[in-house]
Amino acid sequence: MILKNNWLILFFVLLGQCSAFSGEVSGTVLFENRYYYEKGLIDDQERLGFSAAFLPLYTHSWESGRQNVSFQAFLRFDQNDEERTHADIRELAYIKALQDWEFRIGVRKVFWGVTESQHLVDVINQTDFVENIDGEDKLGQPMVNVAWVQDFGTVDFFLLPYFRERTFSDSQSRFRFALPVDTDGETYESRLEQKRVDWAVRWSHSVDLWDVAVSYFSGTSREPELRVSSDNSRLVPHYFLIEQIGVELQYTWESWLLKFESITRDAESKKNETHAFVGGFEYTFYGALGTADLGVLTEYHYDDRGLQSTTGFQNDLFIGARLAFNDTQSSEFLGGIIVDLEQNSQLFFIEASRRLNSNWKLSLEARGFLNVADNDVFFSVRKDSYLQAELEWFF
Amino acid sequence: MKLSIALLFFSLGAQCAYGDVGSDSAKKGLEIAQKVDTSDEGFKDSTSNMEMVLKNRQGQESRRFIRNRTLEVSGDGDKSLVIFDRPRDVKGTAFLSFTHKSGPDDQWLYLPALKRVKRIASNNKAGPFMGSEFAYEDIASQEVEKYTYKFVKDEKCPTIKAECHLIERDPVDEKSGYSKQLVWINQNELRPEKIDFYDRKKTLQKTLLMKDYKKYADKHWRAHTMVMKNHQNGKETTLQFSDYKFKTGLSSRDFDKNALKRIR
Repeated sequence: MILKNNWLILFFVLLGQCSAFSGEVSGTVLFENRYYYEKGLIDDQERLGFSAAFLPLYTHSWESGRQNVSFQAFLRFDQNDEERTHADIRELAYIKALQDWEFRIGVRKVFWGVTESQHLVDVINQTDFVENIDGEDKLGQPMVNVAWVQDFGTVDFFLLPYFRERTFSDSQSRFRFALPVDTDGETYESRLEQKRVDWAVRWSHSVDLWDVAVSYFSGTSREPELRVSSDNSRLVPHYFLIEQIGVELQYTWESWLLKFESITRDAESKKNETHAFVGGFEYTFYGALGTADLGVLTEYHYDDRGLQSTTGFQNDLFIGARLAFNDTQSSEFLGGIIVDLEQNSQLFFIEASRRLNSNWKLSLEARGFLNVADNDVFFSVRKDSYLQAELEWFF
Repeated sequence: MKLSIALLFFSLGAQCAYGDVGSDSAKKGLEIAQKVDTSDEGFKDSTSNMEMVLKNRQGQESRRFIRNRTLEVSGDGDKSLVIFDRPRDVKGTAFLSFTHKSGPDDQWLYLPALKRVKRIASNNKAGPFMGSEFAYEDIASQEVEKYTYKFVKDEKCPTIKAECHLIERDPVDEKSGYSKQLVWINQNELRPEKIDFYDRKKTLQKTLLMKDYKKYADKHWRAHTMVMKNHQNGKETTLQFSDYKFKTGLSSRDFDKNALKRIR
């Protein structure tokens, strides 16, 4: 839940008390500087921005780790973007593991998937889109999750009693759409709106060289459709009810990782069924450069919604490279480009990081857009390519 | 993890699969390896804490703190879980490995920031573990079947006053970074005292010394200090073990993908 100010105070009080328990407090403070190397589409969009975030974590585990509680808060301040200045409870959960069952209750993050350039089947948590447009940052999701652990794999049942809205940048900042997004006026297909109880079930298993999962989700889609308001002044997020079947496959053989994810999504109100998949490989040349490993990645994206696809990856090819130096500082580099095979729009990124010492880490990130076609999802952000340096302090 | 370099525990397995079975030195070498393995059988599970000190040529040090959990699996290789506590940027990262007597090991990595369990290729065995002088294959659970053996000679142990068997073992897997290893095994206690690692070009690359042994449950010898010196790059990594515990009641449920997600 996005915290209001008095919740923040409560949070600090709680944090202070944590040290009284026999758990462990750790966390990070992040300092981020972003530079957008093109002038924005509207005058108010800044080119330079400072931001800082705080992620304290409290954990306490007992019974050889078979029971634990954890609490992770998230606070971000952003110099330019009012919506990016936000707070969240990333985690507030209790876990108990028995021989055949595992109970996980509270606000949590659950990751599903195997591919790198898109997380197609990953549907439990809402994307914290203001954090980063790469979709890797998620909002905490309240849930009751029961896992049944058997020889034939693990079956996870999820009850998701509260819906989290996607976050969007404010209308004067970068990564805005053609019109401002009305983040207070969302509409829902379900008359229960955010209080609808969504549910999901997933079977996952590792057999030999295969890692497999099949999932079913029934509930409010995490991806809104942005509808133009009647006065043409705003975009109103509308959240449909969907049923989704997801498949995840990974085959791991020698230096190869072969990966595949697909979804079949039914939106009853739209009377249609849509399909999407992403598949590809990662091959690593171990010790390619002395002790450094070089990995090459390729993934193909398909979505039969075509240009109506909310992800923008309807017929796209991702090509990337990963370099792990295996040095004392764990220096790493990942770069890639996603090319739209129909319209030739290109999205590229570079992520590099290096540990400075036992408490500090430096990360560099660049993200950008090239040749964006005027009917592409990314058209409104085509001038928002940026370079970012992030300094992280761990305690 | 049974940081098993130290331990060299090989279960009794099929005795075939060695081209050189006929020769006396191969037979004797294998027998010694099997005896070492058998002598450590029955530990069921173990946990320990490990501090890793990396020293570069200039003597600058950096430290890692790691928790190890190992589960003995009868009839196959051990399962191990390694949890990183420091450096703090990798805190909560965990590495789960199912060793197999034959065929590739299964390995998963848990990335706490993304809550993601990632299956990784086990072909990286020759690569450095956490930027140290230990390769993945050095810290993986050692199984008898992963090497062929030659008995070299009996001589005085290089580091302590005792008699040692000197055996040569050659990795079966061509992905190994080594052409051969020379292992000094304490004759009385059936534990390794020193290992010389030869790279693929057959030159001496690293030397491992295992020290401060303690015996647990009247049977299981564990080294509490291991020093790996790389002769080629001048770097050194020292492992200090503490809080060894055996038969703590861990089960396969503490070594699965669900357990990875519980790591704190």
